Amino acid sequence: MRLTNKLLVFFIPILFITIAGLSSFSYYMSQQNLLRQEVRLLNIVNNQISKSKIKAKVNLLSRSGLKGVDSFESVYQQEVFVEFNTLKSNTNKSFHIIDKNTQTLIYSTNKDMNYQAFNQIDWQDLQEVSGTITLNNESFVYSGFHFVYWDWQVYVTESLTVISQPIETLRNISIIATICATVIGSILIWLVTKRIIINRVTLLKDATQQFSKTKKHISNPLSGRDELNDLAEAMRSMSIEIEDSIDKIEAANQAKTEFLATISHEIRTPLNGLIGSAKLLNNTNLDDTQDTYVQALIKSSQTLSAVINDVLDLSKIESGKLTLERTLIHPAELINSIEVVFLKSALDNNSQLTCESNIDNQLYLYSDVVRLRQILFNLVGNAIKFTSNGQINVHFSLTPRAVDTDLATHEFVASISDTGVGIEENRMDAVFESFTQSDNSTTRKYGGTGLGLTIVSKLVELLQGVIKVTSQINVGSTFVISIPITIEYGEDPYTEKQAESNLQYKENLLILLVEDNEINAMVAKDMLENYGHTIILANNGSEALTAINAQHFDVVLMDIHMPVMDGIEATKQIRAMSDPNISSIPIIGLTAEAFEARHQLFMAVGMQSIITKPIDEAAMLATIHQVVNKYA
Amino acid sequence: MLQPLAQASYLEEEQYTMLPTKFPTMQTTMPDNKQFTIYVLETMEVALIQQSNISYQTKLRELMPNTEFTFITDNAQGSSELASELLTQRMASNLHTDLYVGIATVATKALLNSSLQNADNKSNQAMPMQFMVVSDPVSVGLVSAIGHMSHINMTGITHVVAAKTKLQLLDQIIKTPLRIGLVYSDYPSELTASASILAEADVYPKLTFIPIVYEFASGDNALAINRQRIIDKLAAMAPQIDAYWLPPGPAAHDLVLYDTIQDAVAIPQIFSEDANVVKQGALFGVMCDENIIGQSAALVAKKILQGTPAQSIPITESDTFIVAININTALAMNIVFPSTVLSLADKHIYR
Repeated sequence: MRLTNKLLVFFIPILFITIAGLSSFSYYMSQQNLLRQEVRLLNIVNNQISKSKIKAKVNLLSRSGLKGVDSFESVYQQEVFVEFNTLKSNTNKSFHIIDKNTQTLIYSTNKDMNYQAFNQIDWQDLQEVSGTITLNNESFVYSGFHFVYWDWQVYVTESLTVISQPIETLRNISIIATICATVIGSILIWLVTKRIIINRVTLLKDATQQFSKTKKHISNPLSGRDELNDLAEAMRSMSIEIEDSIDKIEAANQAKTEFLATISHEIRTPLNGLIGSAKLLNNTNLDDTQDTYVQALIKSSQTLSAVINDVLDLSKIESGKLTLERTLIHPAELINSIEVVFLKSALDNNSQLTCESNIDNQLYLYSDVVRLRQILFNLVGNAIKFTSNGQINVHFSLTPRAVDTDLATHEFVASISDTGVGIEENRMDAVFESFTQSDNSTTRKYGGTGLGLTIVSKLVELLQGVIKVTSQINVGSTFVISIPITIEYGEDPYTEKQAESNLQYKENLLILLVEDNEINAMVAKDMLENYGHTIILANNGSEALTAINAQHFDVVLMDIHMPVMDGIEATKQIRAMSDPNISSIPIIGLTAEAFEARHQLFMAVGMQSIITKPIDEAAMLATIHQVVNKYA
Repeated sequence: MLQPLAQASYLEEEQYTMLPTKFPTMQTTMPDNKQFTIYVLETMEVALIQQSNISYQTKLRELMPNTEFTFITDNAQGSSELASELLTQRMASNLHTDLYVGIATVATKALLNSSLQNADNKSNQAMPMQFMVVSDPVSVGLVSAIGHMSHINMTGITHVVAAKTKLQLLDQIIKTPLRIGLVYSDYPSELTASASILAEADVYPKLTFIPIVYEFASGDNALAINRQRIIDKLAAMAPQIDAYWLPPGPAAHDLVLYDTIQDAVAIPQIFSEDANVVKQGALFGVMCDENIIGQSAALVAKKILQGTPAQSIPITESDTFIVAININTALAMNIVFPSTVLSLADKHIYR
């Protein structure tokens, strides 16, 4: 509820209760006052007017010497009654006379009066009485006096209903006035509050929103000297500090990004050379000892590469620089990729890896395949790592979603279960924390940085899914991920794959390798020449342009960071060449940079694909053939 | 020093202090130590006439304390001829007279006739005249209407209460139908007043007036003759009436008449013009008593003596009356005076 409405909701009842309370009190006091005044008036009427009329008659009889003359006294009593009738007409009050001796009513202006109630009045030897009385079930105010000579108790009464009539009108007016005052008061308070509080709060809100949008400090939108202005000043100061902090954070973030980019490039570049050289060495004739050393070298460099990739991935995720790219993939492809990568690893641990899917063969999944694969590879890799002489099962399924949101119609559920060492119950949540494994002995026994599950959980979260784990020590663990996904129907991919596989990888490609690092150049050249391709080397972008102008190449592998002319500039110039045979040449970027934004930049200047270092031989071959087939 | 009247009315104290302020005194304009001679012609020997004369003289002396007054009083014994003769003698005597006063109708008429007869004689015509105790100045010929000035150099205040007032009061007092014998003669004031009463009586269904007319006797022994005539008439009409009424006139002020009637026929007198008669036994009366008559006439006389022509003073009705009631008569007649009437009567409640 808006503050304006809240104010009204609170003000109206408060005002109403206050004004109604005051009105009720006033009404009550008015009523009491009126009653007192009426009693006073009745006393005057009775004691001065009624009594004087009766006394005048008796005095006249007395002066005339007729006191005691029954005929005259009787007639003059009747005259009193007649005068009381006139008095009733003039004053609208009722008069009653009771014979005190016989306690009978001898006169009343109200013939139907049940006078018995008068006999209940306790005079207590007083000559005058007053108060309230109930006659014929109606309340009256009365005044009475005792006229001794005729032994009359003379009363004058007035109905409380009649007395209350003017204040009943007043009450009704008060009710209307209360309602009007409440409405008007509420409106006025609302208007005033709106002007001095709400409008100014709105200004503060607008300023805050502007700050939120622009991240630039705000000026004080208010004037005056009050608490809101103090708040505005505090907000202004805070916005200045926040702006400074944001600038510093952004600078730090930028520095971190540049650092990571630099580190990524500076580490991965020599690492590419290391891994590539180790693999090339592995393909030579080695004795057992050399082979052992080379295997160790390969494994260590792969481990280092994995660690660096994990750190960079986590950094990208936490800095929000990881963008999702959704494409179609068949569940069978995922299973296939898992089997290809991990079957041997499982066997090496004397474990059995089984993968299955009950998803319709004609369904394709639309998701970020790279991240999905990363998630599954991490989980399967972990399962294999922590399971010896056991069983690792991977199961895919698809369930319709209860609520269609963001066009995600189904939930892709992947279950990875193992019969490994398990996770202690009190460490269940901690395994998803960075650099945390089940316990410290795990790190010593099994190695790893403890980032894998952290990356998995963040990737699942990025894909708007959930991950759950159940585990029991020495029994095993089961990781289940559930990711919202859309599906499409298509042909069985294996038939397509087979068709694809019928596409022969081209041989004898003339490839221009633009690389300033001698080791990386050597590794890549040897890899590609093993597959029958011809490699021409260029040390920088300038030499690349010269080479391209000299002869036609099937594809160009372009490193990014090079002296004289880097890969970006070289690509731009190639694409700007007038000869379409040259300007349309396929160019694949070679980079150790891990950030997607940079890859987007490379693509934007004209590269058709990117191969990240350290170079995976199969990935490089697949990328080359894919690009040549598509763009040559 | 002013002597209080023997029969004081409720006006005595108030009026003695009130009256001097009612009329502007001309003493400041007139020098003191004046002498005035006033000739007073009384119609007959009736207490009201004589007492009014006394009251008049007393009040005049009081109003003009530094003036020497000589009052010459004659009585016409109820005779118009005697009244004229006495007046002529006075006028012919060449004795200086500052003011002629007629009390009651006969005397006043003689003054009127004298004035008319001497229309050519400017000195006599100019002689200021005043009347008292005249019930109907209009029928006497003094003025065309009450409140107007006379065509002759005469003025005065009539003492008679309007018939309407009397009948209204009676109607309040009487609760049951009453047959009233209205006893009157051809005496002018009686005739005029009776006519007024009979004319008004139709409005009061409870009151039935039965005229009882007798012939007015004047001259010697007129009172006794008139009394007997009245008694005879009442005796004859006794079975047809419940009470009798005497209109203003000589009979109304005859104090002996009431007792005589009661002894003879024992019929209650319902109304009297004379408080003394009420005191004797008439049920009630509304009148100007001798004090009111004398005092109001004295005020007029003062004006005339101070130089205001009598002709310029309008002839008016008295605005002051008394109500007199008799309790014994009321009780005997089983009548209760309403308190309004009782309070009006005030000090004139007799029993």
